[in-house]
Formats: sequence, structure tokens, C-alpha cells
Amino acid sequence: MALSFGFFSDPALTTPISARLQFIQDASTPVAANKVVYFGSRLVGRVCKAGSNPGVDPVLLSVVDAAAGAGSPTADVRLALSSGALATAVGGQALNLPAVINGGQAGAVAVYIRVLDSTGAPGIHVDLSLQTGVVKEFAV
Amino acid sequence: MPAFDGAAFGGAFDAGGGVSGGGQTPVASGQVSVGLEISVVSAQVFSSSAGTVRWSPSVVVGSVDVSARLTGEISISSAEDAARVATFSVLPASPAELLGFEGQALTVDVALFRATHTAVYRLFTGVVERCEFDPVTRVAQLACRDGWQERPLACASAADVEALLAGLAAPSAAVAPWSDTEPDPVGYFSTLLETVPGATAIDANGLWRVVPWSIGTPLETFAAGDVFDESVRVMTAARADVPSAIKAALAVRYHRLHAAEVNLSWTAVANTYYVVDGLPTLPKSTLMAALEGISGWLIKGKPAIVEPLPGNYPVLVMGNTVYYTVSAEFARTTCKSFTATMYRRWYQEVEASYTITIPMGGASDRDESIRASVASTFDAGAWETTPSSEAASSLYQANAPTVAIPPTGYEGLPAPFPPGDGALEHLGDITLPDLQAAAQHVVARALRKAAAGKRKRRVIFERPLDPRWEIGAVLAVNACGVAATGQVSEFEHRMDLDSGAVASMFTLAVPEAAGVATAFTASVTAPVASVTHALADPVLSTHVGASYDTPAVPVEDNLLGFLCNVVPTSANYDASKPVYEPQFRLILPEITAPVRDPLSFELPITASVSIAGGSLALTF
Repeated sequence: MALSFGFFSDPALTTPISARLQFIQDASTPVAANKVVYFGSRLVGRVCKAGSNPGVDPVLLSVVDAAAGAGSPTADVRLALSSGALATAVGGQALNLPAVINGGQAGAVAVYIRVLDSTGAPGIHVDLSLQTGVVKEFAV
Repeated sequence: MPAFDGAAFGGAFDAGGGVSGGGQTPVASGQVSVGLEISVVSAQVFSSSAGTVRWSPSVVVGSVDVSARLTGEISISSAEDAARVATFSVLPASPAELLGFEGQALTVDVALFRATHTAVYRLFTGVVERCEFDPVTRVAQLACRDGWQERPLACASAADVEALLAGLAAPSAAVAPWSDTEPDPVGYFSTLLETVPGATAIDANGLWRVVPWSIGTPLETFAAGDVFDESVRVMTAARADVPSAIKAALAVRYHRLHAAEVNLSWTAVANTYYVVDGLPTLPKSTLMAALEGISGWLIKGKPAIVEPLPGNYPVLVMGNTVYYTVSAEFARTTCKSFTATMYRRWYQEVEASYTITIPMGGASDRDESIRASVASTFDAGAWETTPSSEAASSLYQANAPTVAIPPTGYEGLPAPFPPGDGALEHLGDITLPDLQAAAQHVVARALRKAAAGKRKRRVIFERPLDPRWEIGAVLAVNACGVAATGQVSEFEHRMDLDSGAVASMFTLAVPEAAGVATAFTASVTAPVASVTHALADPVLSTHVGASYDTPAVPVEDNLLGFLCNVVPTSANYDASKPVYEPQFRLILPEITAPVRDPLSFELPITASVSIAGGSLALTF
């Protein structure tokens, strides 16, 4: 059975994100671009926990680089649980989501993403993605 | 026991452990990911200096890149509180592909090239809504939407809908309730959207956005060389959009609860009259029947009835002493004097209208009022009704079992109790937070209506394809004698694959207002009754009929108290004078219309509103 938890484009979790999230960066004078996505499930009776030590360890969200050394480095991406926390977030550092994430709109976790390009290399860089660790979905 | 100390044993018990979920079987497991696309662009592609710009669209339907089969024009348009729409034409590769277009997810990107500079922008993320195929040309025209309408529709609760509006809405359970039994997420969304000082939109990536209406420093200013010739237009708001004022009113319907008291006092005449005129005495039963028989009035507490003292009382009659005898049995049933307090409660239906007027400065007299109402469900009829006295009928003379006898009369009246000879405003189930939320809802609606009207003043311009700006971006244009700063409320990108022409048309909302942000504060205070009742205590006395002292034409309004007559054998008997119907006559003051009839009045909403303003200067 597939996970019902995923990334959504709205806080009511009505629309899953199916395409890559595009961040536009000016090659010569890049300005940080922010977006917010929502991690959760439409199913109210479900919870999401980390695969290891579920319910205790946080669900980990990492910036994964599929082509290290090419494209954009993970350090160009900051993750936070609030817009204010983006200022102090460390580029490339994984984000701890709650250890227990409830399904339903009320349990949705807003993930704030800030991209600031450091390459200055015009082009499209699709080597980065956000990926959770192995998670387990339980029925409650 | 070493066997239980091993790491394997401990690990076995730890596996899958945790606060919860230990021992529970997951229904699914895996990893979740979302891809990022960092498009590093060169702003030089948007330069208006001499040179050429090449462009190339990229359209992926489902997982199929149909870019090489595009034809005609690609159009992408977006507006506040509406779906982003994309239309384009494609040559389908097969009937199966053609029939499979509908409902497919798609993305539209564009790559811009200028000399050595490139920029790739996503323009649209959505689904194919409709496919129109021309078998002659083998061209399919696809109409696509971003799902703006579907997102409210997918909401399952009020919280879902409110989350979509990012806390900018002003929900009010009293004025605009959500129904769990008949959920209408689209209707609820529309209602709440009317209170948002901003707009909703879905961006090029398909992300839902709530854009506050605020106009600060422009992100970009376009001069004459940046816009197409003759593309700049200024549109003033219609008269209907900018009335002279917008008035908002919240009608609160509730009950004003009144209470009034009057004091009664009566004392019997001297014993002489009983002997000389043969006047009857006042039985207690007659008095109580009179006190209990006044419609709408209740005896507060117990009347203080004084019985005559048993004994023989000398009375001087025509020079002779006779005795007026009061037996013990007679005394127990007779009233010599009494005092009592009579109580009355009633309710008055009240409609308090909390109002605010937002001056718009327009010339139209069109009535742009917003009204909402909230009504108390308090059962005022039951509150006013006197509890039945039947339940209090005595059953036992002695050795009564202990039973709970419900109080009756005044003591049995339900709460709340208004202050004596006063009134209180009883809002029933309408709490002050309900009232505040309702007032904020109404003010928010008025503010949005006012701001939306002012935002109808618009400046429109076109320039070469510029996908950098989304709904809500603050831009400025200074061309063709028009200098304006405003917020993007609509835009349209057009790319003609046949001619190679590309253009973006932007509509800026340039409201005539002084604020930077569109915002409000609003609060109300609960209504307070300032009512004092001063009902006159009736003057009670003994009125004797058929006596030479009896007025030929008695003032009936003054005939209050004990009414009796002289016996015909009395020397004071006068057959020509009115003879009264023996009774204890009580008429208590009427409740006057101003405190009885439905009442309506206005109260102010303490509020401040500001509307974000743009700037517009014209030079001829």
C-alpha cells in the first residue's frame, strides 16, 4: 500500500505536488526565493512516524543531491518550520519534522524552503530534491 | 539472568518501539520526495536594449513532452481569485493520445534566450480541462486550468477552508456558520473570501497563495522603452464601484429583560364602622385571591398579613358602649392589615445595529450597504411564564415525607433576574467573542468591498514576455505620460508559435487610497441597558358604598382596596348612593409602550480601516 503522506501545494492538503518546484534565481544578483509546501495526509486516521524508533525519532527531511559536484549544491537550500526560522537555518541541513505527524489538515506540517543560488551558472539545475527518511504510516 | 541481558534481547524489544507505534503494524512505509528545479536565469533576457530574444516553449502533458508538436498560440492568463488558465494547440500523435489528454497533469515552461543569456520559467501547472479536436487540421486545442476551484471543493471541514485563506479571513460562526450536516465548502470559501483583504491565486508551480493587498516599493519600474507602444491604458473605476460610502451593519437581535416592583399596604377601618355601619371584614381568602389574580404580577415572598387580635373591644355608639367581639376562629380568617410586594417581569425584543461607515469619496449614491444579523435563541416566553402553582398544592397536614417540591410563583421563576425596577440586556447564547467575531466579519466584508472598488482603477500595459511577476507583485510603469505604481491583479502571457511574437500584458490595480496595507481592526462592546422603572405604588384604602359619605360619582381609578357597603339598617345608609360590588380591588400600573414594544437602535463599531493605495500621475 502506498503512503498517503506526501507534499501538498496548499494548507488544506487538497492538491499533491506532482511536478518539480521551480525556483528562479538571477545569475548575477540572486535574491533568496521562498516557497512553502505542506507535508501531511488527507486521511485523518493516519499518523506518520520515522522508520527507526517510530514516534520518538523525528521524521527527517533532507536535501538530497543526485549529482554532487554538478548543478546546485545542497547548501543553496534552507529548510525551516516557519518563515522566521529560515533566516537562521543552515543551508543543506536536514529538517526535523515532528516525530508524530497526524493525518488531516490539522496535522499538516508547513515546510518553508529558501533557495539562494551560489553557482551563478545560468541553466536549469534539477539535481536537488527534498526527501524524507524512511517513514512508516500507521492507522490509528 | 545473562540470557536477558544480551543486546539481542534488548534490541528485540526495542524494535519498532517508541512512544506509540510499538508493536503496531504500519499500513505503509517508504520515502517521500519532491523535486526541486533551480532555474538560474540572466535578467539580460528581459533587457529592452537593441537585440533579439529567442524563445522556446516546453509543454509536458502527463509524462509526454509535446513541445515539438505545438502550433498556433499559447496563452496563459491569471487573475485574482480565479483559476489560471492555459490554452494551446497541439498535433496529437495518435487517437489514443488525443482521447487521453483530458484530465492529464501538465506543465508549461518557456526558455528565453538573448545572446548568451538564458532563462527558463515555469508558466503553468495544472490539468487539461477540455480538448477540442479539428479532424481537418488534426489540431487539438487544449484548455487547461490550475484547479483553483477544486481546492475549496476538496475541503472537508471549516478548518480546511480557513487554512486555505491563511488566517486572513474573518470567520464568524454566528453570521456565517459551517454546517457539519450539510457541508458546503465552496459556499463557505466564497463567504470567507469576501472578508479577506487580499486575493487568492495559484502560482506557476501550482502552489496556492494568499496575496495581501499591500502596495509598497515597486519591484520593477518599466519606462517607455520597456513597454509596447500604445499599450498603456488607464481605466478609472466605474461610478458603481466607488460609492460615496459603504455602510456595514451587524444587527443583533436579543431580549431586554425587565423587572418592576410595587409595594402594597392596606389597613382596615376602625372597629366603630363594623358596629355602626355593619361593614364586613376583609377575609384573608378574598385578599389572597385578589393578590394572586393580577395578570402578569406575582407576589414577591409572602404578604405580611396581620390578623385582628381576638377579644372584646368597646365601641362608643350614640353615647352607649357596646362591644365588638373578635373570636379566635374569626381572627384566623380575617385580615386587619397587610403589606406585600408585587413583582412583574417581561421582555422586550431588541435589535441593536452595530454600524460602521467607510467613506469612499465617490459620487454615486448607490446603496452599498452590508448587513448581517445574529439572533439569540433564548426562549423569552418560557422565561416570562409563571411556574404552575399546581405542583405546590399541599398534600400533607403533618408527618410529610421529605420530597422536593419545585418552587412556584416568584420563587420558581427561572434566571436571569433583572435588577429590581430595572432591566438587563440578555444576549442568550450570543457570547461576547461571538459578537466580536461577527463585527469583525462585517467590517472585513465592508473593507474588502471598499478596497475591491478602489482597485478597479487600473493601469494596463504590455511588454515582451516577462514571466517574472505573479499576482500581487508591485510594479510601476512610467511611459506615455502615465506614471503609476500598483499591484498586479491580472496578467496574460501570449506566445505565437507561428509568428514568433511574445507578449505579456499586466493589469495593475492602482487604488486611490492612502494606506500601505489593506487592514482593519474592529471591536464592539456588549449592549448595556440603562433603564429604571418607577412604577407608582397604588394607594389602597376601604371604600364604603351606600353611605351618605359615598360620592355620588366615585372616581373609579381611585377605587382601590376593600370595597364594601353600609348595611341598610345603619343610620348612615343612603339608598341613593352607589352600591359597590364587594371585593378587594387591585389595579397595578401598566407597562408603558416604550419599555414593552420592540426596540431598535444603533451602536458604533469601534474600528479602523486602511486601504493600500497606489499612485497615478498623468502628464499631457
